[in-house]
Amino acid sequence: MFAFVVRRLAWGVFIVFGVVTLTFVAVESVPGNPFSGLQSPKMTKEAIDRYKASWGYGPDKTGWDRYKIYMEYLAKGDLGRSVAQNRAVSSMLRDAIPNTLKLTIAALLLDLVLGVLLGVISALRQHTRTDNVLTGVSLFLYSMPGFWLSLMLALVFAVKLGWLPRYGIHSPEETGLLDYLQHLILPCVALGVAAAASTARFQRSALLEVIRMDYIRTARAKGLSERTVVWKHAMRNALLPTITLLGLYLPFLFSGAIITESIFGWPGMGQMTIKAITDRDVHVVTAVTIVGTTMVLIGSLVADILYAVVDPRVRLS
Amino acid sequence: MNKAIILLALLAACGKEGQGGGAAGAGGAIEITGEMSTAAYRDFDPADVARGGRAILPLLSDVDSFNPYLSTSVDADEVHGLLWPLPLQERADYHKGPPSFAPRLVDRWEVKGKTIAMHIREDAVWSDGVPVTSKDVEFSARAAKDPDVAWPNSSILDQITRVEIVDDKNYLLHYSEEYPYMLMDSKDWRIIPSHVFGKIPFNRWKGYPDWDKVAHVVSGPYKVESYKHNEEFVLVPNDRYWDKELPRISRVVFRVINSQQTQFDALLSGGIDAMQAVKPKDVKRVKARSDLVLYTFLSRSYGYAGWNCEHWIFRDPEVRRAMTLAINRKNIVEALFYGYAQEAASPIISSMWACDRSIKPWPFDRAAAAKILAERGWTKGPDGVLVKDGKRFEFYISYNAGNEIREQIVQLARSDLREIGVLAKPRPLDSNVLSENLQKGEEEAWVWGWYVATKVDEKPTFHSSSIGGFNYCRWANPRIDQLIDTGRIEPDLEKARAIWKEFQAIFHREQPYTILYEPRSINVAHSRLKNVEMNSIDIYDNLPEWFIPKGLQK
Amino acid sequence: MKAWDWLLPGLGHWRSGYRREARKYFVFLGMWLAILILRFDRIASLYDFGGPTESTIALLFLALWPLAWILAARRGLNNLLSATRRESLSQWRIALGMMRRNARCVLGLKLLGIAYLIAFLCPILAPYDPSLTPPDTIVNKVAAPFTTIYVLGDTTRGEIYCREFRLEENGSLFLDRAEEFAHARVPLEDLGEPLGGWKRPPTGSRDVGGRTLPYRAEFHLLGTDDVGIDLLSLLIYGSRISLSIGFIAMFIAVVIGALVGTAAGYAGKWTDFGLMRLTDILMAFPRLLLLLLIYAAYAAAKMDTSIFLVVAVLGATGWMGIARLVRAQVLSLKEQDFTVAARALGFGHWRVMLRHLLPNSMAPLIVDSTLRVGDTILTEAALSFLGMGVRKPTPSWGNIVEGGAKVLNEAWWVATLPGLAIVAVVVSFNLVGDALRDAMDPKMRH
Repeated sequence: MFAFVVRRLAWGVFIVFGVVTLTFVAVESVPGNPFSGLQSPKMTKEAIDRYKASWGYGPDKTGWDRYKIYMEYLAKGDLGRSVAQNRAVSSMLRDAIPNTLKLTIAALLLDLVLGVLLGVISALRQHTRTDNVLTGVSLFLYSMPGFWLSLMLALVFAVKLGWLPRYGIHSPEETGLLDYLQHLILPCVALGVAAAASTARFQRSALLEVIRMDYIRTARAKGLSERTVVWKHAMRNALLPTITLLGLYLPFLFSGAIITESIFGWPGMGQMTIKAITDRDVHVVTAVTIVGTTMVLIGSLVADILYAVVDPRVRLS
Repeated sequence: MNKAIILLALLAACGKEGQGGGAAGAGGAIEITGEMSTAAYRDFDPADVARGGRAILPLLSDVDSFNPYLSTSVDADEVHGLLWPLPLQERADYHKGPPSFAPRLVDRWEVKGKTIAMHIREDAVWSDGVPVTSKDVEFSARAAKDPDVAWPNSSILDQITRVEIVDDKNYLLHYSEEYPYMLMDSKDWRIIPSHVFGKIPFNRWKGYPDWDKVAHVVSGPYKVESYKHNEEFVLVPNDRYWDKELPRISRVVFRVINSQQTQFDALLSGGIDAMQAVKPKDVKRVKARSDLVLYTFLSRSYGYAGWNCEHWIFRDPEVRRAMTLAINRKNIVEALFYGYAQEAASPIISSMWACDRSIKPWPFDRAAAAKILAERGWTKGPDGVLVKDGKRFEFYISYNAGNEIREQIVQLARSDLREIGVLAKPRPLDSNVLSENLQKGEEEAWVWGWYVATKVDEKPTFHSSSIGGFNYCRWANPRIDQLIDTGRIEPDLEKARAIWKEFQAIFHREQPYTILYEPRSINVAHSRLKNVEMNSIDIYDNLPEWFIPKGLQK
Repeated sequence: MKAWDWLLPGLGHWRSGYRREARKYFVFLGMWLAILILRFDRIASLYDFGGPTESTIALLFLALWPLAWILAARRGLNNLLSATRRESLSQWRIALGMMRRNARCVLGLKLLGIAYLIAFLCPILAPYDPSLTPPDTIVNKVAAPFTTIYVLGDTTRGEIYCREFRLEENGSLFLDRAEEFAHARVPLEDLGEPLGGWKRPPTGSRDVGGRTLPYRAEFHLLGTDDVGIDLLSLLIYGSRISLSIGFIAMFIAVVIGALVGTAAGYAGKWTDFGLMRLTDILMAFPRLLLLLLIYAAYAAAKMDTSIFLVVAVLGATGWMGIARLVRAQVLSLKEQDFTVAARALGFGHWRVMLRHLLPNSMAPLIVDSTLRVGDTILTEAALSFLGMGVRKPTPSWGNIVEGGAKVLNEAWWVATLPGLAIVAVVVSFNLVGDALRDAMDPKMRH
């Protein structure tokens, strides 16, 4: 197991390095530069060129030079500086990541709780009206564009009914927990409900498969109550697939939902990413990529390990 | 399924919010307007003037640096104005002639040939007790021009060769030549305390992380009390400010609210007390409230459609004029700005002294446009698009993506042009890509805007030497070059006016740009804030004089 | 069986007693006739309306569609009438049979059928041309569903638009132009035939102040968007993008994925290692970021049609999962007898891969692809919504919602209705895909 983990981590470092290089190359090769904010009529072209040069974008510096400088930063553990925002990338991440985590963790909880519950109910009541309704609803939610669901929630609850705030993470007056929860509800539901629909489908088919298994029939034949059969025997095995997939949610947790964040004005990683790509702010884009890729790798590693721990038939190669 | 039906029923029942003809109710918001600044609105009794209270103002993005020479954002500059005033402040009175100046840090000045003698006010003192001296001025000039600092506005000091310190309060600015804007260039850079900022060498300025800790040494009416990164910062009065009656409001809180829409919601709900750049379509909702006051004035900017004069189609000025005739500018102004913009005909904005207001915009005349193109050899092809010598009249019209108004303008212009057989293909681009392409001359047509300075100087935009720079339309007209060269340094007002008049006449004939509109700047403040006057030079210029009556203070 | 039994689809079925089948054909015949009759004047002048490509496609479809039904009716009737029934136990026939009996699947197919019908016939069905923005934007923009906009004729100014008009006491006509500052008053004498003629003929007239004023009533069933274009027409034209891009992009992804997966699974060793590591890296890349970057790269370059771009991007970023799937299949099939036999017979590697391994991995591939189409449609909509997919003036349901998001407060319908259309189409694809998966799964046969 240990060797497996070490090998995966080593491989992971290589992948991150590759991804970072690809990102850097991509951002640099696209036309555009991070200096679109310089709009004042008092700025002459020469002065702007000098300013650009001070950031390493002078005519004598190529993308390769900037890449080398960036690698030096990384070697020192520094994530670089954002040109468009004029601040250190690490401090931007320190602001954005907690906001994203607040949203994604809440959405994940909603997703798991709602999804597993609905999937189980659906499976246990297979072929009844409940199952049909639940499957139908989850199909509907699963087929919805995420941005549309967010807009519709915002439309109904924020714009038309006015029950919940439309944008942001807290009111300008910052009035505490209740205010914060009010702001959280809509984006959390938008993210969580659609994911719950797909979790429900997955959970339902997993439980259905388990229920058909011989050992369940044996348990029933032994005379155990339906309740024990389901909760003690079936669920343990049926939940396994969902749990092992947890690791795969890790990247989502940190990269956030770009579209949902921008619709609700949630100041997290998603918004930062879009802005950075538009601004060609290469240090920020690569930092976001590093975070995302690392989370993907750790997530899939965790998922694989959990799977092996939980199912003794699986051998980690 | 049932859920969806209920939802739809709910939505239908809610009616049409804000749909057409919403009247500004009786007792609705007052609108204070003006040209370069809002009229003075004195709805208070002078005896009510009081000190104290708190005002909350929004910022669209955090101040990028508390060092004025490292900051590039316009929002940040407005805040810096409250901390480090300029030597002189321009007045918004440029419709009769170049703007006049009001004393700030400098209370006496004299222009003598290529030198300006300036005297710093005797009672100007830094908030830590050290007096403001010419040493600070000389230091600030050096910072502005330093290559490591690379201040993007450094060209303001290009003509200033030397800052000579005469004594603590007197200094001389030596210029390389005499020109009409010497005084303007003498005051557009902020004076910062050399004994604080000077502690850090210029080549370490860019990486220095804690400028906000340095920002408590100021010369202006306010100083920074606290700063929560990317959230808010609080300004409190500087007790060493030279005007002992000001500032009046004792807490000014700047909150970072990233979205324009959230700012507007906060304005309506009372979370903030004032807001800049309100969208024209939101004015209706402001007008329905009696506790808000609208302050509007002509913004120092214009929107235009640009044509690449080196392009094979747009090389011909008559073709460009036909484009102008074919685009319904009145429809654009009406539909997108709800009356908060006006049609215009000149790159010199209508509130500027040099503007020739007798030139009226070309009318919207599709038939005339079609006639001009027909005369130039364009005939209607099989699918309705004009054709000449086997080539179609089609081109890309670019604009900066993400700007709602520009996107809608392009849609409307495209449709207008299609009616006469011209195929304009919209192409949204990121603004940095757009400006790069424009500098390289790789765009065929585009829609954008310019902010204009109070100096009348069309050299960067229309002089042939600026091709590759900001002369995006690549207009190379020798007479225009001559006019610009003489006009920008002509000291006599009447002669200058005549030069710019001819410039505008040629511009009007040749239309390298189709000027689309001049927008109004729409700002709102709560009626609790009294004595507010906003102008197009510096919107918070008279903020120290704002006050909140005793009974309404929070 | 007489000739007219199948020339008029359904007649033969009816006469032979297969009433239900007959009804199906009659419905289609009825739809075709309805379109032909109700939209006759549009069809007659189709090339004056919108682009020639759409018009040609629509006319071709209108001509070939009845042909297809005639042929299908003939074949169907033959099968039903002839004594010998084709016995076929191929995996596909069984699956098809199961799907036909699945009510949900049939519903999905019907919805898709209607959607594709609308897409093909868009210039015939759309009430207005969505590429033309109306000249008077402030009157036309964000009109609510069921709004009628009146176009009057001004003899000095041409056509003028308004929401409502009425006579005022002083004898002039008051025009409601949606915003208070824009309301206009026009002297009654000026009205009548517009200067320059009517763009489209007037549809009615009203007696006002003793004069008969002709007007053209423009009815917007679903309202208009933020620049005044009729929403129903936008939705109809937008269907082309969603329905075609979903398929084409998925097809590209499948082709790339299948090739990569087969090559990796078959060749093994270094090819497998290299291809799979490449797949890993691309999968590790946060997906939206990848899409955004590729798109930013192409968009900044001078590419003409953004549609090609979107399709290429969607295809190029969706193939990784398919590659893995195919590789797994190929790995297991590689050891089976038929492969060994094929190699023993001396068939070359390529031939074995393409003609033996690939066809046998098709089953899970087809299911995955069908389910993937829905996902691709959603991704295309998301890209268009962000402004990085299909761009205006080409309507796509995603970019209509983008416009709607900007006017969410004033005009909720612009954002809501395209979303419903997307949901309907994706649900249909998912229903069909689910049914297909259940049909192919041996465990589900009871």
